[in-house]
Order: sequence, then C-alpha cells, then structure tokens
Amino acid sequence: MHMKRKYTIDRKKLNAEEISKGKNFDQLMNMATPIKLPFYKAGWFGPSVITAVLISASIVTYILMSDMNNTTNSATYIPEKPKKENTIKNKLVTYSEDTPCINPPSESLQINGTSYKVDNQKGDKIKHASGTIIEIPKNAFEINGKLVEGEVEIKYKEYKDQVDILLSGIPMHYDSANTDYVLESAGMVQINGFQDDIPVDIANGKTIKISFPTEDNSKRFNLYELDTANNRWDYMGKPSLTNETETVNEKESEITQPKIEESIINEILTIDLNNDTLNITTNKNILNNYSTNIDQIQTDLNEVKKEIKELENNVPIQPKKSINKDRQFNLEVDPEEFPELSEYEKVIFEVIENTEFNNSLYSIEWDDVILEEYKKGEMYRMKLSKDDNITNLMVRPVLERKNMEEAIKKFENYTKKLELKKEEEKVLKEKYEKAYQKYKEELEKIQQEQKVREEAAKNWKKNTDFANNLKMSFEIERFGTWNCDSPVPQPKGKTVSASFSNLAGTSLILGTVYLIERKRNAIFPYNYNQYNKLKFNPEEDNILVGFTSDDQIAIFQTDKFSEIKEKKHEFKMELKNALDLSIKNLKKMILNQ
Amino acid sequence: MEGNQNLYHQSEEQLINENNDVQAAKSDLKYFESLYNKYHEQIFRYVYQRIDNIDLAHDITSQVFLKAMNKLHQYQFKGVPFSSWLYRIAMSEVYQYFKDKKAERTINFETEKIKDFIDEIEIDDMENKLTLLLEKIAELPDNDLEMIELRYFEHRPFKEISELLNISESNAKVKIHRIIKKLKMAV
Repeated sequence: MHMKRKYTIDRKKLNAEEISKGKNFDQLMNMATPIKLPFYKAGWFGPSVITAVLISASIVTYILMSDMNNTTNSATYIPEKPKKENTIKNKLVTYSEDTPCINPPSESLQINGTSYKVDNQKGDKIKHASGTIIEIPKNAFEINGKLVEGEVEIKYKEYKDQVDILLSGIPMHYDSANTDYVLESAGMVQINGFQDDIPVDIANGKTIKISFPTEDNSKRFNLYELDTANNRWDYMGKPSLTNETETVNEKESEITQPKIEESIINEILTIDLNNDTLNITTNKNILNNYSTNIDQIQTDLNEVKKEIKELENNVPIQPKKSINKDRQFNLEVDPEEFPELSEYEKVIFEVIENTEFNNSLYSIEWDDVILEEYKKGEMYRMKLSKDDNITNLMVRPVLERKNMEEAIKKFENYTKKLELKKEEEKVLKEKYEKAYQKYKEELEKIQQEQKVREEAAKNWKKNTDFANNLKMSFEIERFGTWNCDSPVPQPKGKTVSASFSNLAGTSLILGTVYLIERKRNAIFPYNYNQYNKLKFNPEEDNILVGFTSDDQIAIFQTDKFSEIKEKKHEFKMELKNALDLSIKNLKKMILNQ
Repeated sequence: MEGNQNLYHQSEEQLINENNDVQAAKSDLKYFESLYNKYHEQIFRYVYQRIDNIDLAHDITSQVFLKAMNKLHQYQFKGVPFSSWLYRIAMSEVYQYFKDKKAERTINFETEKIKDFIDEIEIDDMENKLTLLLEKIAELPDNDLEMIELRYFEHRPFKEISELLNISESNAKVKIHRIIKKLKMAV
C-alpha cells in the first residue's frame, strides 16, 4: 500500500509543555479494560511467601468474580467488565502481538513447507516425502461457500522432532485442570489451501484425512487443534492407529522411488595398487570396460618388456673393421660360451693398439689359448700359454671385409628392433597411465553416485517401511495446525535458578530458553520469569537451547548438566550463528541425528 | 528523535528492572504509570513525526498506551526494551489511522538531519538535487520510508529497527543499503 504523502521542512519544534499537554494517565486508567490472566499464568506466580499471599488473594478475588455455578472454565481468561466508555474509539488492533501464537525463534532457520497442486474436481491422495498420506476427496474446497473450480494449492509443513518443533515457534503448552503441561508430539502438521493466493476452506461435510507414520503404538496420544486467536490447543478427540499398507498414486505424489542398481549397491570396490601391477576387484558392469582395457595394456606391456630383455641379453657384435692384420689371431670359439659371437661365421681377434705385441708370438706353438670376456662383444682377454710361458693380450673381435656387410646388416636390424620395442614400451606406458587415470576418475564418480544411491535407497526403504507399517490418522474439517500429542508434566529431579552467559562469561539475554530431553519428543520452554525454577531430570539426556536477538543459537550441551551442583547456576552457553547453520546441522548438534 | 537512544540501549540490569515494572503492571495496572511516564514523550514524537496535527498525535499516542494497557497480558519479554513493543503498537496505530481516514501521511524533514543524511549517503551536487531527493523520499514505499525515517531521521540503531520491523538486524542493514542505492540512482 502507498499512502498519500506530504512533507514539511523544519516544522516548529514542540516544547516539553506542549508534549505533556496530552499526557493523562488517570484518564487512561479509567478507560482501560485489560484482560486478566488466570492466576497461574500471571508472571508474578512464584514460590516466595509474598507471592503465596498474592496467590491467596487472587484466588479469593477470582472465586468472587467468577460465576459460582460455572466450575468448568477455570483455565480460560476471565475478562473484567468495562469500567467506562471512553472517548477514543477502541479499534481492532492489527499489530502482531495480537496473535503472538506462532513465533519462530530464528530468522534464518525456518522449517520449509511443501506445495501440492490438487484438482478440486478430482481430489487426490498425496504422499509426502516423510511417508505421510494426505487424502483429499473431490470437491473438498470452497471459497465463501462456493465450490472452487480448478486447482488448489495445498501448503503443507510437518514437524517431526524437537528441533522442528523448536524452530516452528508453535507454543506447546497445554493447560489442564490448572496444571501446565507440555505436549509431547507424535507428529504435528500445518496445512492450508489457496487458490491464486486466496485462502480456501474445507467444504461443509468434507474432511481431509492425514495419516503419518509412527513407531509408537500406544494409545496415549490425543488430537489437538491450535486456536491461534486464543493461543491454546483445543482437544479434538483421538487419532486412530492403523497398520495397513497404503496404496498411493505414485504418479501424482511427489515421492519417486530411486532406481537401485543392485550391482552398485552390493559390490564392494577395492583397488590394490602395487608398483606396476594394478589389481582391481570392482563393479564389473560399470568399470568392466576400463579394467579390461587396463588389463590388455598391462599384458602387452609385459610382453614388450620381455622381448626387450631378451634382445638386451643377446647383443650382437657391433661390426668393426680390421685395422692391423699383423696383430690378429684366428680362433674357433664355442658358440655356447660366447653366444654374442655365434652370429658370425668367422671372427678374428685383433690385439688392441695400446697392448704391447711382438710378432714372435706367432712362431710359438702355444699349448693352450683361453678367451675371457672383458667387455661383451667388444673386448676380450686372450691368454696364451706354453709350459711356463704365459702371455696375456687384450683383443677385440673384428671381421674381414667379406663378412662385414652381412654383419652390419644384422647389427642394424638388431638395433632397429630394439628401438622399436623401446618405443612400443614407451607408448604402452603412456597408454597405461592414461587408462589408469581415467579408471580412477570413473571409480570416484561411481563411488560418489553409489553413496547418493545408497542414501536414497535407505530413505526410500525407510519411507516404504513406514508406508507399510503403523500409521496415525485423523480427519480435519478445517485448515490450520494439528497435533497428535500427549500432555507430559515438567521434568522432575533438579530445580535451579538459572542465569546465562557465553563461554567467555559475558551475560546473555535469551528471552525464552528451551530444555530438550532427547528421549521425549517435547520441548520445555522457560521464559524470563521462570529462570529461577528451571527444572531438569539429571537422569535424562538434557540439552538447553536459547536464541539471542541477533539470531545466534545458544546451546548448553548434555555433558555439562552433570556439573550443576548448586541451586544457582550460570549456564555457560556455546554460541552459534544461525546464519552459518542448516537445520540438518542443528539436528546433529542437538539431537545427535 | 530526542532521547530515544539512551532508552533503547539498556543494560541487562535495567532491562530486568523494567521487566519487573511490566510484571507488576500486569498484576495491577496502576503500576503501568512509571512505564507511561518513561515512554510517553518518545511515543508522542514518533507519532507526531508522521502526522501533521498535534491534537491528533496526542489522541493517537493515548490510543497506543490504552492498547498497551489492555493487551499487557500478551506482552512477552524478549530481552529488549519494553519500548519496542510500544513502538510496534504505535506503528500499527498510525498505519491504521491513515488506512481508515485515507489521510495524508506526513514526512517531517529537519534541515540538519537532511544534511547529515546527504553526507552519509554521499550524494554529489546536492544543493541542486535537494528538492528532488525529498520528493523521491516521499515517493518511497511505506516500508522503505519507515526504514529511512527510523534510521536517518530518528537515528535508531539497526538492532532496534530490526525489532520494530520484525526482521533480522542483517536484513535491516541490507534493506537500508538497497533503499539508499535506489535513492542515489533516482537523483
């Protein structure tokens, strides 16, 4: 809305007298028509002697003011009669405190709702992601008594655990017979209908059935509807417990069953990398192509390596021309002893240049000649002996001209073959590296997908189990906030007068703080006036949560409750910025979920 | 807005004492008088800033306190001064008045505050643009105008603005930043 505007500049400033001209508290006192709280709700209701006197006085006043015949409405507000008509017309106030009923404590952490579109002429059976079934009959909606044509948007929120309830800001107090209970919830929902953002009503005579999964088969839970105008829960009977398998139109519902590939879920992927050897036990369907490829490359590589090794063990003589025919010996060598020389028909050993040699050696008829390898294919030691005369010569194998061409050809072939094999080995190694890298990437991808699928399968199974098992059902004739609860009394055991600070010891102003017992799906709020009687059961897993005005969450963890020994205790709270948290994180911190 | 900062920035002890006053007033409305005396001028100034009629501003101020007294049982202490609640009632009352009477909403500019505002938002050549700026402020949507008034003409801290408008402090900062950006572009 954009109101009409005018502006003034430097309007005359008012003095104190002009301002206080309209001040008249006595007149306001005469005009005021406050609503009084029942005595047990009043802020001053407390344990002190003075308070006890006040309680007694209030009870007397209360009894005197109440209709003596009416004994059933003790938990409702008792309005005083208006004292006097006032001159200022009392208009309907529209500020939010008029309906302070739902007041989420955190700006940043709010429970998200889900929207469903329903054709009013057809109705629908919706399955919510949590497993809850919402059954809507056809022609269930109307606006101002007229049947709605076409699609209606159903906005649905569900509060399953203590954190959901805490963040909802929905009050969970229940007054019964002057005793203040807290509602332990089996499941709470908020459901509303709209067409083009205009709220629709549930048509006269129609009901919407809501069935949500539950693991609690006790019949202690009641059905309550939240009366937001009066900030209270109204008892609406009992929900029913059924153990039937629901048939749901999966096509129209939002939940879809994830595709579970058994091979992915069941197979365990392991990799054993050991130097050059890659041993893979893996998902055959998905990674088969990659692992086969790697296996093949590995086999080829091993084969090439073997061939190279063989070639290197059988290096032929690099052909060398004869230089000095006056320093040569013709010898027959055993090809088994010197396989490197076996390739050549005739090998001559020439005494190398820097070895002392005398032609007289030719004239001696040597008894024995021993050839020893010095450098394979290149240099040998020749030992000539006759009686005591022993001569050692360093010789090299050389070829005569007629054998040279053949020898060169043979050596070149060998060299080429070795080079080719080494090139082949290099290519195969590169291929192997690439294939292995690709395999690793694919494996990581599959493991990631597997994780997601397993999670989805787990959730789906959970939902399916719920859908097939116990359900708590109720039918509603009005949209709003509905709750299957059981009133539970305040915790018993220890009572302390609480104050709050951060870990550094600076005081905190928290407004309402909430005690949560992990095993009970309930939250116990304590407002400022109740800090002096904060109760908890030391035997339970307790956690205390509060919110600061700048949206920080203050948490007092379970293990610290054991440190509370005195009647006064300063709760040193750990502060977390709500903006930095998700609801999932908060649940992990508070509920260990 | 004279004096409001000191009343908003209260120590924990002051807040607790004030809440004790509120609790006492809940049990007997005569104890509301101290709260009335403490906040009457603030609430009146808030209303008068938006309404160009002193008698009407007095009537609406009385209406605000009457509502507060009648609805006191619904007040919940949230760790902030009681004035936050009163301002929210005042905001609602002023809004309701304009809605019902289809009356003109007034924006009262003070030269000094406008100068401060211009310095703060750093607009060049403002001498020639002043009239345009005032017109653009007057054309702002209701919520935007409210924020500019609260922040720059009444010098309220972001924390208080966030309480009054029921938004987070960071959201209030972001919103004001955007409004200023919009105004700078418009002039």
